[in-house]
Amino acid sequence: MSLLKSVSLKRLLLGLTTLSLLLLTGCAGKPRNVVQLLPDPDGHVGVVSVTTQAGSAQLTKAGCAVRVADAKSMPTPPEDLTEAESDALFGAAKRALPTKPVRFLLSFESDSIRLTPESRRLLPEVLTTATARNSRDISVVGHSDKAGSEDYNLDISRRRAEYVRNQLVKAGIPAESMEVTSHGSSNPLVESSKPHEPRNRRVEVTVR
Amino acid sequence: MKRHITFFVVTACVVTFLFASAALAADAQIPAGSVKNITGTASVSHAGAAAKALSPGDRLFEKDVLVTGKDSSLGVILRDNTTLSLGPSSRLVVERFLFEPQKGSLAQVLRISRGSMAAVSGEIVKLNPAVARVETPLYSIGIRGTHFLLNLEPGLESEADKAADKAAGMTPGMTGGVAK
Repeated sequence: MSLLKSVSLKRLLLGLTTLSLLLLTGCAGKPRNVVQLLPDPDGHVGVVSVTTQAGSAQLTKAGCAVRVADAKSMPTPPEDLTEAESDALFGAAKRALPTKPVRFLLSFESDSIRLTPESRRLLPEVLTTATARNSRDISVVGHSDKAGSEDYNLDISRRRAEYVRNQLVKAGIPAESMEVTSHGSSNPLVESSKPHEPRNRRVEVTVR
Repeated sequence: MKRHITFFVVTACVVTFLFASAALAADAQIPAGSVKNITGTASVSHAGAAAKALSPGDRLFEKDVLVTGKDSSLGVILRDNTTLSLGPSSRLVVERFLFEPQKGSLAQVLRISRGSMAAVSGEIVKLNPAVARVETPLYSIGIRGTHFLLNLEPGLESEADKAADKAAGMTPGMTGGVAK
């Protein structure tokens, strides 16, 4: 008997707690399916579109958000979210977002795998960054300019990337943390009408 | 003579097929990204295989299912330098990831079926925003740059996703679902 009583008392308490929580948060009816746009790390504000079966809404202003009640309804018109609600909805994910990878551009002498003197001096900084970020994922991508055949360009950009990888291994970065690829002349840093373009003759090291 | 030609054609076809499948297999091994940080617990199921716990530095691949536990979070950096993170009790599938700018091959489809995420898009969105989207059970997101947050109410995931998690051993307790 006393067991029964305590069970029903517990239920009553639980019901009351739920009710007061609902009243406190005032979330009756406001969907918690939310998308919020934030400024990029560099301050620029992008555009995000949210599309259900009923149609699309666009987010273009930093901090604004839309809610979606269900798949067949239009997203709500963009609104500002309070810091408190934003934190309750996505705070943990936001805090876990990794900082932007750090990219180094290493330049080469024309038609060779010799680093320019300035780029040679950058190598210790790559090591410092990899250590500071505790990075286990570093990509080393070789690029060439447009002078010469694409076969040749793929080959020289691969040899440039391998050279940089070997230098970093010598400096103490584990080889298994690095991935080496070559893009030839297909992914130029700057669009140039001249085939010889020193800025495109490079190895990009991305420390993730 | 005719027989010789037939033999030659068949051999050529077989050789081409073998090379093509070897190339495909090699492509499948290119990682889509890696794990940067974890708090609490996070696990992965690759191509329906049994779930295993993730650690920083682990490589991630197309079709990987990522789940975080209760009070947990996961930070990931994809190969195009997209950064993304999952909040507690979340589930995300790397449905499609292709980043080979030298071939013009680009695609990025992420599907989140529960929990919350944050993302700052990378090179793929910069090169061709049309090939990048995030899908949820209720809506999809197109991204033309770049930083957004997303939250889903509990209970929206499909039966197929639940069945896949069960088969991979991602039990509700492990993924932070409500224990009854």
